[in-house]
Amino acid sequence: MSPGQASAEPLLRVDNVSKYYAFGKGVLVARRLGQIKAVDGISFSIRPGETVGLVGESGCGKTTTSRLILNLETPTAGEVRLEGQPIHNLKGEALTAFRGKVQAVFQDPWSSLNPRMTVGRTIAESLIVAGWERPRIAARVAELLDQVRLEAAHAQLYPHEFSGGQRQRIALAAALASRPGLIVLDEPISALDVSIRAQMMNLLKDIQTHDNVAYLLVAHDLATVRHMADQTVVMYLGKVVEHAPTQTLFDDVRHPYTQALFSAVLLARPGQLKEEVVLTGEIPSPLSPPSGCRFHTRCPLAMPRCANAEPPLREVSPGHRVACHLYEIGGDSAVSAAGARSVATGG
Amino acid sequence: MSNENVLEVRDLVTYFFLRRGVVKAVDGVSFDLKRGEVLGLVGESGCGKSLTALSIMRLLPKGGARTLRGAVRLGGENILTRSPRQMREIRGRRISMILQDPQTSLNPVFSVGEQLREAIFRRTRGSKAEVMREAVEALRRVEIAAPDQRIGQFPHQMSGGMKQRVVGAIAVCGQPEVLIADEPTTALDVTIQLQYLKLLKRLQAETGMAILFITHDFGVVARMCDRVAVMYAGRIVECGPVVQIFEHPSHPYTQALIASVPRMSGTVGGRLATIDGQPPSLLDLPAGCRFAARCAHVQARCRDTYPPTVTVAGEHTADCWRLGAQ
Repeated sequence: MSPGQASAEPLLRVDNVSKYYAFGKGVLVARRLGQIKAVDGISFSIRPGETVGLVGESGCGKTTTSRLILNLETPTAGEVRLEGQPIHNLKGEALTAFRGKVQAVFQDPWSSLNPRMTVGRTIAESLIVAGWERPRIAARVAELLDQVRLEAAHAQLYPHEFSGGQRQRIALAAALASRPGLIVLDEPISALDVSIRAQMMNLLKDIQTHDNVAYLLVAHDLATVRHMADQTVVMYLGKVVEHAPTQTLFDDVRHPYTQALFSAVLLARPGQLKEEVVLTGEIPSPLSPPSGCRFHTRCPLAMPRCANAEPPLREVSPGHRVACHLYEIGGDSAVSAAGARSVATGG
Repeated sequence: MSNENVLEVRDLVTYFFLRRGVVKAVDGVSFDLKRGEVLGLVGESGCGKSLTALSIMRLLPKGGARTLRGAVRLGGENILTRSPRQMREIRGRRISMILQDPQTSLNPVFSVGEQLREAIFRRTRGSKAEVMREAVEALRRVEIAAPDQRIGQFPHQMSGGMKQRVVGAIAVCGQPEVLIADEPTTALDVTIQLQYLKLLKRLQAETGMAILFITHDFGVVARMCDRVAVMYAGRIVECGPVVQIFEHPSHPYTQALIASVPRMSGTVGGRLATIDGQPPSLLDLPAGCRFAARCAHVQARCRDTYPPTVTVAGEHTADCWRLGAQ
């Protein structure tokens, strides 16, 4: 679905959200040593029926972000709103209702399903919590199994009787049961076999078209995000570094980190390789992120001020936001920015 | 790259004998690895690619796995008939292996220096100082910054990418002729993955070793490999130069697999081509072509008899009845 088709009112709004974890040493006499800024002031929104891709490497905060949205963590600062309503002060029935509206499918279908529950029971779980009657539950389970291309008889079986791809579809059916408005998909295909991945991606798209459900797709694979997402958010060490409609982002990559990620996406065909941005060094520890722009220690285009001043996220074209000193309005770096772009897109 | 084969695998058969039955995990695999080339071995999990590697190394997992037939010729001699003692001399010096997860391939209770020095000492029998010097040099070669400090550290003090580089250093320190890399970058972050692939390429250029590169990722194949062999359900179904395979895949499985990967060019969205069904159970393989049940072009004889290996062009071969008819 294109962004134009989705309605303009956001379903979910993440507004300047931060999550810090304190860390210390010692068990009995704990000393507080500092805090990890796992997520640091991020904002984006998800409209009904659209897919937002969240991309980044380990430690970038994408899992914390999805846990904040699922209301499994409370933010240190900022607010997440679902349909205009803050989610982190919900209690009792309102919280139960929220759980029905935002669901999740996790990466590993081998650990996310209860091995002692039949598939039917797993799928029915959220309906039982919601107080549905038995006959309606049975009918809904059959309908859901059909929707994920499994058979009604499969409801009687246990997870070990299914392959990885089938298990992931069962997890999806369980997530869909309560008719959520949003499903957080945390690396939904990376544990699956290559020949099964396309099936899962097509199924996710079909379900979105049918149910108008929105997805937050957390992934490290840019090709998957490009294929699935309407908007793409790129994160690095707790910050959003680039955010744009997917087509815009992939046509016109701006941030040097995104450019490096693009180089790392191993091209689908040999011999297409031109210039590429290979990052040197390791991902810095989130315990002590670099000063200024957090990416400057690995950035091939770093300038002196990158070490001192943190670049704000600013709009470089409609809907396309980048946090990089190369794109300051009226800056003298237009040439190097253009050069960087040609390196990244490479034909 | 030369035309001389450093490793020849012929009709390799490794089965698991379980109470449930016989799992035909590697069922007649043949290929050549030329001196100085990178051969990709591609396939899905369970297709037998890792077990092929372990059969070559003669490091089969405990619990019923046995190599029944075949030959693995390293520089002309069949290493399947060597004694365990002789094999220990061959491993690390003539043929080495890098596994997927650096977490489990390094010993957590020894420093990386001790593990590296052990490997170097086995080859050189040098003095302590010589071995130490060589170990620091080996870390430098795999681009570990401040190697003289890092050498005293333990695996848990290093990142995943760094650990995998240490594993690489241990694997190549014996100057092997053949390096088997089994999904070496799958556990790494994408930007670190790219660094590691570049490093392997550089090490290969410096040493002239041949690499058997096992992966499920066609993108990695495109970047790394000279030739590629595609495995499905225990057999190599297609093999050829990498550009040939990408541009003219001939086996329906390879065609479907390449078509199902989302592209990084063209317009976004759309539907992907899929491969319906599941790979067959290795406990109960069909008599004919193993891909027949999922193949769009299946004919009656595909189900009855395994197809012959047909030469498509030059070095490009595929096991498919459709190609034979032409």
